[in-house]
Amino acid sequence: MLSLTFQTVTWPGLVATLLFWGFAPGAVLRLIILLFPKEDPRRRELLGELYAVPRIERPFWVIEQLEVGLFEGLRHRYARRNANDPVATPEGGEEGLLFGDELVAQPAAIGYRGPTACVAAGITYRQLDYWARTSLVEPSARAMQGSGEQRLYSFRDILVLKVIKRLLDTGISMNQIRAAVAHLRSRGAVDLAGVTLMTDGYSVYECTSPDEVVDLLQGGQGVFGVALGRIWKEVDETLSELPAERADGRSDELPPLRE
Amino acid sequence: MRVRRTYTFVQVAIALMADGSGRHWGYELSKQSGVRSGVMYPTLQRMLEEGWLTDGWENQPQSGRAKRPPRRYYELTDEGKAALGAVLAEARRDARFAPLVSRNAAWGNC
Repeated sequence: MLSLTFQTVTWPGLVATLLFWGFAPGAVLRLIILLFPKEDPRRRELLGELYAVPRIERPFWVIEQLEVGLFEGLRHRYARRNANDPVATPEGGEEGLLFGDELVAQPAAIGYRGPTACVAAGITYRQLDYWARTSLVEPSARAMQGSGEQRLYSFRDILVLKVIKRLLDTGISMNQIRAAVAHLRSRGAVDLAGVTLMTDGYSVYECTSPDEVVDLLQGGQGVFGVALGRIWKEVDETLSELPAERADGRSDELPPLRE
Repeated sequence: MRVRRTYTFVQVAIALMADGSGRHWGYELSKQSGVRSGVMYPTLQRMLEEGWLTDGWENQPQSGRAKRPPRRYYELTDEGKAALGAVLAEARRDARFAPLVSRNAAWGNC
């Protein structure tokens, strides 16, 4: 028994282990943060935190971050992969409805600034900004380029924002919302006006006919419904009173360059 | 809005509200609340998504060692203070959280 122990724990192995975990927690942490998607702020955050941890605690703290990486990092990767499923985007100059073309199409060249999008969707600017940075809803009319350029949200984006806000208000977790948004985006040709999302506070269900809604209700499940067609109308009405902008930047609003 | 008030959630809320207007860092919060990182970071994430917290990056470390990467900090928003205040008020009435709340009794009356 004793000899077995001595055979498996060799000197070079022991030294390597000690070096690795004891003296190079930074290197281990850099491996752990690779579990997160590339642009995830947690990557930089954990690296920054390392130097705030007392040196003697660092190896233990780094091991603890393995849990963060495994559970949060991999989950974010998974969520992102789902969200990156091909989205049916009309190629022409018209933008259709969220997932189909059933209601009146909106011109794709029109975009709305962040504050306008917030008002229309009923969210705070911080939420808008955070969701954009975590790729939940990114401004598709004009993405953020550099510091000077304004982000512009399309009608479709604002619709999604409002749906998310509704779901969030019912207590649905952000992971469920990300999954629901990814799922809806992947359903290219659904008559959106007929879709109702039902939620029991834990899961999101998609109902395309009144019968399904009734089924859920009878099952004691659906306690809150989000009718996408109605939200579409609400957003449309709100936006008609708010300023819009051309997404291609050929607007007259740009101030002349001063020499 | 409904966030499930788990034990760890209340622990993190207490740590955040202990200094309602200050900046908080991950390691410091996890020490203070006694919640391990694997649970605390998702909790912070959830609060960010609710708009209760806002985050930012420290410009440059104040100390002389320039090689440090910037740290990410969290600050409570006004909305967050109100929401977490309500959470803690509720927790104080809940027997489940009694050990937590009494331990932080000094904080309890503000």
